[in-house]
Amino acid sequence: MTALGWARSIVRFASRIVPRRLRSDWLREWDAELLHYTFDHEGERRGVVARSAGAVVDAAVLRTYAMQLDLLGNDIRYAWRNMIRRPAFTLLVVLTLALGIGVNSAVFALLDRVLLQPPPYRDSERLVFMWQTLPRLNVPEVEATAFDYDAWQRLQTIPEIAMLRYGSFSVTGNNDPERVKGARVTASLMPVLGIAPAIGRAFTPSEDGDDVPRVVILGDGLWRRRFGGDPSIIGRSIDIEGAPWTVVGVMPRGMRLPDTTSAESELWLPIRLSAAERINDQRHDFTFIGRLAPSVSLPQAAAEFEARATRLAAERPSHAGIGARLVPVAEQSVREVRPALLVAAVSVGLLLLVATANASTLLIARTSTRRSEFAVRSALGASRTRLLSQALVEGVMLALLGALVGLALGGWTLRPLIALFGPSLQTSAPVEIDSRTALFSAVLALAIGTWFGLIAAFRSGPAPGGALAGITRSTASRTAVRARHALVTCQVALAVVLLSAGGLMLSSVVKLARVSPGFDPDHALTFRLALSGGRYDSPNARAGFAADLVARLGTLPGVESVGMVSALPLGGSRNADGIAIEGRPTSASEPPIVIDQRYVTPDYFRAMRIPLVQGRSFTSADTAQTEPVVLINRAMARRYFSGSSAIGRHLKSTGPSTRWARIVGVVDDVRHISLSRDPVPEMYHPFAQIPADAFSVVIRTRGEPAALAPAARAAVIATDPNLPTYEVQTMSERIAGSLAQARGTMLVLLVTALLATSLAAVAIYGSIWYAVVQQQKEIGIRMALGASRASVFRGIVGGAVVRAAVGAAAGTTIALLGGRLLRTMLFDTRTSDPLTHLAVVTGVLALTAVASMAPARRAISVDPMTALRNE
Amino acid sequence: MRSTLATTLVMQAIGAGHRHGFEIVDVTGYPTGTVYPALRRLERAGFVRSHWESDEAAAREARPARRYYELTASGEKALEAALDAVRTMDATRLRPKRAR
Repeated sequence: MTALGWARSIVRFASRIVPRRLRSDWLREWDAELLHYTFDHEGERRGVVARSAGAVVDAAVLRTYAMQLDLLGNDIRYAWRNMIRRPAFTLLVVLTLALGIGVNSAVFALLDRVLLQPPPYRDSERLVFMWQTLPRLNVPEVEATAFDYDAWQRLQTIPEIAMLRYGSFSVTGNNDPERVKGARVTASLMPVLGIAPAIGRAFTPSEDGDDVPRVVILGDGLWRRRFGGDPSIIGRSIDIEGAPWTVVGVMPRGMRLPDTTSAESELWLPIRLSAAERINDQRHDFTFIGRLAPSVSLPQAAAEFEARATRLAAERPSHAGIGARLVPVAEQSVREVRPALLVAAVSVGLLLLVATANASTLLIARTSTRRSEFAVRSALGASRTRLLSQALVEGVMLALLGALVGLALGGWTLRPLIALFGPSLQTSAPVEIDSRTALFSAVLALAIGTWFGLIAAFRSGPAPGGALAGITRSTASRTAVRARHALVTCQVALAVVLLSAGGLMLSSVVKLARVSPGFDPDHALTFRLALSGGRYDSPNARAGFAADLVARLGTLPGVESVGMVSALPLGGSRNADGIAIEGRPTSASEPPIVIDQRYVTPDYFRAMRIPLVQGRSFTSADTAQTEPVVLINRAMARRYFSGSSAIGRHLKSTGPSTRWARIVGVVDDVRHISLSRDPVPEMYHPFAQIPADAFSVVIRTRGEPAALAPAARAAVIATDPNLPTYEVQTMSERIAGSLAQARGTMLVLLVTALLATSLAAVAIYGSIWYAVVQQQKEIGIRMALGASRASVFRGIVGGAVVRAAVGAAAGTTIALLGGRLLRTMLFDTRTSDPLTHLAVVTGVLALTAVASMAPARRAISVDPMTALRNE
Repeated sequence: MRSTLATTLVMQAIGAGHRHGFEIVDVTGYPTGTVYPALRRLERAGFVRSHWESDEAAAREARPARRYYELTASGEKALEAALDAVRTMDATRLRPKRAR
């Protein structure tokens, strides 16, 4: 035989150990190499044979790899068979884990979209909101004035700034008026944010003035909804607020202004300030956004910004006592919802721990019954590593199944979860279970599966001989019982943490719901209107419209009274103006008095049932032609007129009216900002004297307020068909909306707490049942030796209660230490509220006693002789 | 995958354009019993992939088609990392031990 023949024979022989699916390619490769080698190295006979020897090693390596894969396949098949053979156990573990992983995946999806993903702007971490502050009045954020736009230019650390005013606008035409949200912005806004229209152009700096043609940029949604997504919209004129505006661009889909709750900003208008408006240093109603210079830190920028504010405060009386503050855009948008989401994340995390501990107790019980199986496998030669690998595969498969079911459950949980947190969620894209959430769940499942595998492997017992003979059974059972008891104690501790947090939140929400808002929210329908178009330019026209509408609405059947107000309580808008009080000296070092202003029709207080405390209310006799009058609230009277009557004193607003107005009455306080915030000083002006162009209508009804909405809408259309009515809500719905976040957090906590408690109760029941079964012989001996049934019963139930008490003590300690997380969300409730903690601990101990009674009864019902004989 | 001198040299040879098994054996000086197992490990780790030479190309030179190996992107990174480790190895640790 030639050398090549020998070499090929060796390769053929080796090929028998190459896995079948690789064999033909493998042979082809070696054949080709040997042929080439022989051709190139004629005369080197031994060389080709030596080289072919490597084929044996190569074949062995491929076989080993295949065997490893086969082993994994075997383990998976074996685990699957085991899971199918015990469907009840599998179902219980999978469902328990699905519960834990499901709610975690839902909360992760929410957290990921709201907190983890940055706002949709270029280098958004460099963007900041630039606020003014009133340190002496403890007001942390006030909008700035148009004057500040020039005053804050040329900051070295914040070289680019933009000014905007959020608002909503009526888009009219086609007899289909619509109110959409957007803002008036300076041309610098888009470069500052690093965004640009998808179609058309951005605004030019010249368009910041009011003496150039009106141009507008549409949001994608408005463009598609109202104009059919027609690209030829650029250059066309549309009606906004009754005037023609030329469309110059369309924004990309989902683009929104910073710190807005709507998914998209639908209208972007130029700021259009006149020269006089540009230098107004009194009206604080512009939001500022700046971009930090490269490599400048937030503290550096804040230092320069505050220094500039200090200089302005010294130079200008209008800026005396006004400070400055920077807040990162990413933080501003989420800071309200962040504590609630973090609490939700922690609570579902704890629930997952409870669920895992619960499934672990099941696994421990199951492993104890499988000890002989592991022993047999070990005796037949399976190494510790093999047993571990098999246990790991089983654990991971159980957990992955749990995660799969959990993801479905998570998708189902997500919708109510989003609804719970209501309008405080700011996302530009819908929240859904996506690949990131799936990956998160898979990682959770792997970690839990590994833990399960380790439990199974290390609880499978010591030497195979002992396990086979059954001689270590009672010791191992006792260890298993102890391990289960320990896990149950941990579950009780975690359940107590969740119950305490849920209890505190519940107490807080109950107190919040009982807070009197200062008005009667029942039987009140509200909606908003904005007067747009040339016909409402004059104050008289606006006042006339208001009087007409009030009269028309008043004639509707079921209507008790009708009022109008420029800003409704809990409506999110404040409209503060600086004021001067007659006879009150002003000093340069004193901050200006800034008071929330409301413009109301005479019947507003009757419609809202806000009591008059002193003096008189407005009447139809208070008109533009009569003496300017105002009402103030109790908080303002207390702060600025304490010790003397406010009635008859004069005030001057720096807002639309610059005339002195006489205080004619004091009305009761209203919680305007939120139910949890104390009332702030407020001033009310007669609508007829200062007619606002956007306002809310309140209708006090005798019957169901929502039922009146169509008739009210018809009355508005009858007065002016071009006016859209929007934000139609009953006052009770507004109150519910303002409670949404606190109620959402409370519900998440209570639901997770109840689930965790149920799991813990099942675990208590299961662990005692298991202990009773395992210790049947011991109980039998004790009863045979004279122990009474009552003492055995007491011992079992008492032991369970003592262990639960240890868990409850640990849980209460954790709840007290972790209370910080909840503190900002609680209203009038301390995190150490003794009543809540006492109720939780008592409830958990009572539940433990109840859960342990059935197994304890079983233990004492067994005849001692039978128990002994069974052993 | 733990990189060894053999896997590093095999990757280096492939990276330098030596594409088939015996050619890599010739370049590295390792026997086939080292080179082929190294190739299998690298292929399993995703650092190397293989393909068959087209039959037409082989037929033009009147020889059977060969299996060619090439580095993947992660293989190139792994090679770079392995070579870096060799380059930056602390020279003092490589000094011969003094006789006591």
